[in-house]
Amino acid sequence: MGYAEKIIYYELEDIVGTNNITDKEADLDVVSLDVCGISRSWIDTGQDTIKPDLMVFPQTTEQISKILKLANVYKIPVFPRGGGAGDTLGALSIYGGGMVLNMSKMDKVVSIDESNLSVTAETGMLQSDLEEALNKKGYTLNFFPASHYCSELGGFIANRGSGTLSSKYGKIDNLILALEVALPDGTIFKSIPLPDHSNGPDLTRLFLGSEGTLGVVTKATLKMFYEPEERRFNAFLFKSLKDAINAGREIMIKRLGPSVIRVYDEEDTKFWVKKVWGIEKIGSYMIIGYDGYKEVIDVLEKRAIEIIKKNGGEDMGREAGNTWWNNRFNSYYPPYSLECFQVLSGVIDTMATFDNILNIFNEQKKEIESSFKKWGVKYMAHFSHWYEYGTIIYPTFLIENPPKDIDELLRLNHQIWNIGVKVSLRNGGSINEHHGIGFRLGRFMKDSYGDGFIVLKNIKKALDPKNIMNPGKMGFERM
Amino acid sequence: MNIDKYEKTIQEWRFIPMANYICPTYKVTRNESNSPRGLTLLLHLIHTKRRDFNEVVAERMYQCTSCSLCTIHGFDETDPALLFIAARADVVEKGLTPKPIIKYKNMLQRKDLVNPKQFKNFNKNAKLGIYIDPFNLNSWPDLIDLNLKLLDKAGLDYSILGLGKGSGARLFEIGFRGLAKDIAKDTITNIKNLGLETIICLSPYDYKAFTEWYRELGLVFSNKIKFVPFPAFMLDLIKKGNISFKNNKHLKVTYHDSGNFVRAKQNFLEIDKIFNKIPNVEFIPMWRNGQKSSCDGGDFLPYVYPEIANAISQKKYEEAKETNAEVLLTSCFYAYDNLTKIASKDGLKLMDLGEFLFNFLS
Repeated sequence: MGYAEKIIYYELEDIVGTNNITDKEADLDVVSLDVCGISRSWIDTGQDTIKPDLMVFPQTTEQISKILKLANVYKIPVFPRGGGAGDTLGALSIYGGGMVLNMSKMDKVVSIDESNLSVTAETGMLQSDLEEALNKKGYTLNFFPASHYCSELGGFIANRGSGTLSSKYGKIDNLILALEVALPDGTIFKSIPLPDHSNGPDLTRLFLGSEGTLGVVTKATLKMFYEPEERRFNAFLFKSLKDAINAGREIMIKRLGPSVIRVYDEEDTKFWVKKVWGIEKIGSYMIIGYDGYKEVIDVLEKRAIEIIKKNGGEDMGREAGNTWWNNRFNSYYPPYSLECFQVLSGVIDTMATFDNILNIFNEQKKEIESSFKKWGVKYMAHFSHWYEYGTIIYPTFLIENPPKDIDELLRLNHQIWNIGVKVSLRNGGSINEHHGIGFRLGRFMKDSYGDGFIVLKNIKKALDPKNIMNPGKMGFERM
Repeated sequence: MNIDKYEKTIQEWRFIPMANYICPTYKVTRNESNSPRGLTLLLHLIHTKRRDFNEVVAERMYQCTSCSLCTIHGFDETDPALLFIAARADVVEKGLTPKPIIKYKNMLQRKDLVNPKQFKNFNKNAKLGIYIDPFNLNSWPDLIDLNLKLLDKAGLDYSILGLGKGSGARLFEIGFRGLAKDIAKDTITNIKNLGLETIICLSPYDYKAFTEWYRELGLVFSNKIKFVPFPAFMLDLIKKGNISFKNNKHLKVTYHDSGNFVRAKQNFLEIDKIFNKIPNVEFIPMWRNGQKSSCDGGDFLPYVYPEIANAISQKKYEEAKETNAEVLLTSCFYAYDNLTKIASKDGLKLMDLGEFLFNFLS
């Protein structure tokens, strides 16, 4: 470490304290990856990690403000990091160097407002800790993403995450009432804590999905709910994916308010449903859930089941549905998780309207599987977040016989993503639904927004003229 | 390297962050290199020869409490907690043992541990043994005395074991496998020669060593010997009617499940059944109990990284307070020690399970 670097280190130490800063190789090695298949493949193919220079653990918004001011002085790139469960290389020091701003010590519930049913928390809180704190008082966020046990609140806000019960409770966006943000120049911004105001544009929304490029979200106020009187699930089997999608669409457009619908394509039904939940069926599997007051959900569920049966859905029973709910996290632990294996895999989740969704599925599957037969690329999907206008495809691709050469492997991965995202965009889909853009998908931002991307670029320039905040992500320039 | 044997564990856990949420050390330091994923990833880099052990990696391995909360999250036989213990053995072999650990090891090997109580020693006819950690006995002689009186009350003949060098469990846990193995061999021979059929383990660490860790050292007991956690044995005595209780005053209690009793492969998860048999005692489980019972700070961590251990104990104590119980019980003397340090500053009464049961004997 040169003298200048030492001075920067000491100055940061002055802000956060000696125990809240590290430049030790072991500490930096483990924050040089997320759960993205690309960063995992670096490790598995013997590449060295791309490390930041140091990592700080601020404990207050004021400390973050001072850190950002310092970063502007020395032009240090800053990479906010939560639980390290991102899937897009979004929190990594992708070009090497810079400072990881580890949010994990900002992990407190600030207040619980039982009159207005809201909670304010620091954004370094693990989602499971936040949920647990509310459960102890009889409340819930009803936000149960797959990474419930490893992601932090800030990560969901940064990437506009979705929870399993999104069909009823929406994405994290729908829960957010207000934010506190340390802007790139160190100014502390507090949004108007009433989302339905008409005091100009809703600036809270500006920071949702901004992935640490426009500042650091330090606190959030979210809606909370009473724990539901009843929560129930059912499983159905359809002859075809198309039938299942039609049933799901009708349930949503008729506003029958399920908490969740999950539809698995024939491959996913064969592979995951059997492997993880032990249910062996041929066809397209659907889980549908309801929660709330018993009398209310009895009526809504009855109507939904009528639609399901009309579309050929065979009732697999409550036990099958509840088995999924009770074991839904199993597939993320050894030995089931894809992360256990030395395979390169990825999820090309995309959002589209109901009329486009099957076109995207069919085209992606056909193009991806036929283009890369040599490598045994397999495509399977489920449809797991349903809204009143459309749904998402959550396709997983697996490269069963990957090239041994890392460059060839990464090129292949790049090509698969090119096809997947381009198919989505030309059919009116989004680049992504709930993992965010990060570095991995930044190249598609211009395609998605067209000329309108200038709006985002200009906002970035206005708020972060020295480009210290997570540079090189979301299609923005590197430092 | 010792970690090589655990290649499957490294392979399966190197990228999995899903057990970080419950890791007591990570929840205090919030440094990912203290988390199950971080530790495994570091060992993956070492296993694949891209890194070597160094002082920082050594420190991270010893900052893990070995509570096994990560291990219970998997759905196969892989055991990250055991992997981290193996890594400590590599650290020791490479001469990188942190100084506080060496000091702790020396403390475990003290020859001047005094047995302050005169217990009846070996009973030649007894088929039942009770294994007592000498360090526990030295620290908590009166409590152990009460535990033994419960057995006396039940009219049992038993031999007392373990008063010499102990089981070697904690030496194994901190990576001194050679020393642990020598002690383990002697222990197995001694127990075999006594012709015992059942051994009650007062210490969860001894139980873990006898039922699992000895096997890692390539040693096994005769199949005929049955090891039983102390609370499980108490429940058995209660069910058989050997001991019973009386109590007139309503009392709310909570209980700290020791990790090595509830997360062992042959685990004990029926503590509620003991409390159900004591009149007017209301058992209120903590938010996390049974297999997911949170860690109290462990056995060696308080000696080597007290700041981390105290923060872990504090969280555990707060969890106990949330139950609004009047008494916090445990059947682990290390937990008793850790929580006493915190409880002394506050009102929740802390008691050893044996002591508690003795008070209500009818």
